[in-house]
Amino acid sequence: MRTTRPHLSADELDAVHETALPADIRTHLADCAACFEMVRTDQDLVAALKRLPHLDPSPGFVDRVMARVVIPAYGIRTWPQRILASRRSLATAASWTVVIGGAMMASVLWSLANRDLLMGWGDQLLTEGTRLFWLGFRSTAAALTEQPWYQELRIIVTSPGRLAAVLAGLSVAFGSGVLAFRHLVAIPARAVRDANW
Amino acid sequence: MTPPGRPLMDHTDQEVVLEARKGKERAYRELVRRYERPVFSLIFRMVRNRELAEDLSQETFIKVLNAIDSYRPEFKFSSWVFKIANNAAIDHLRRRELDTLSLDGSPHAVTPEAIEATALQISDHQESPLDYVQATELGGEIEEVIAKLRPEYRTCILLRHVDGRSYEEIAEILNLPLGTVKTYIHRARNELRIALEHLRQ
Repeated sequence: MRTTRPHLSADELDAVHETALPADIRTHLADCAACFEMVRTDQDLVAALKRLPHLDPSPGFVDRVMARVVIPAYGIRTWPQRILASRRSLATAASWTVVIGGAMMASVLWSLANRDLLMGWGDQLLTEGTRLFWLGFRSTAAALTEQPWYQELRIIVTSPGRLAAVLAGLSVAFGSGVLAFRHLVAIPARAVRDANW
Repeated sequence: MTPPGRPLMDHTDQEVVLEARKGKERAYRELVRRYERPVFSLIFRMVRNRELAEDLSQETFIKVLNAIDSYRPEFKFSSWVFKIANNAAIDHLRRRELDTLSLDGSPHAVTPEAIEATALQISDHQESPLDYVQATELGGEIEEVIAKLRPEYRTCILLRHVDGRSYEEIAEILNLPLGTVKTYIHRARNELRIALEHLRQ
């Protein structure tokens, strides 16, 4: 053995598997049969370990895992939880706040600066709206009085006893309808068999 | 946020975790699909029993997925999964007091006397005939020799040379100082070299 360098340390032996060898180690390996043999054996061992295959669990493994995992329903999260869930949702919420807040602020400022114009628009809208309302009212009343059942309705409305009976009948029908609707849309208290088909 | 339009399998682990946190079952399945083989392999090589390895692997994934909201993205997802898998295997080995054979004594022994005093004798490895057959089929003698390493060495050598994890990641997975991980791997390789010497001859 011509080399005066000490045998390879554990770290140097690791480096043999990782990187290109420094010149002094290469020289040492050329001269030192013991270290050369150790490196060769170690390299064979590491190569054999790398060749070990990954093993498969039995088929259906993912399904068996998923059957026991509880996935929280994202839909039942509250709005603050949704907003704070990720940086993106937080950024989106902040952007909307800026856009909507900015638009509202701009609107207020513009209104303050153009009060006379707004007042003019308001008066014009009010006059036109009133005119259209009365026009519609008169047209509807005229069409109503022309209906064949108008006289019968008038007789009912002018007799207090009949009016009370009709109102009572309508109230009972409305109440029954509301109760029936509530029953239809109520969430069942117990799980319903085969409800998920 | 996950980039739109790419299939889930092209996303990084962190992106898939974000999707899982939104309650998407596909993302949960993708995480299991990615790690079922390496996790099962690690645990099988630790406990040497297929049925048990399946149970422990399932337990690992159920723990991981049910606690997905507590995962901290600054750490590698794989490290988190392997940490839980390793803990499951080690806990089982401790409970069962399985053999922890070593050829050169405690890893904490520093003097030759201490190493000799703490060295264990090789005892009969109580594997069932079925497990023995599986071991021979699954890679032969080297699998058997790995099974005789003490559990800490076994995890280190499997993570380093079978899974290709870095020393730093192994230290994170096992909660050990980097120097200790290097020592374990070095000693594990020494033991394997000695145990497999007859093959070279």
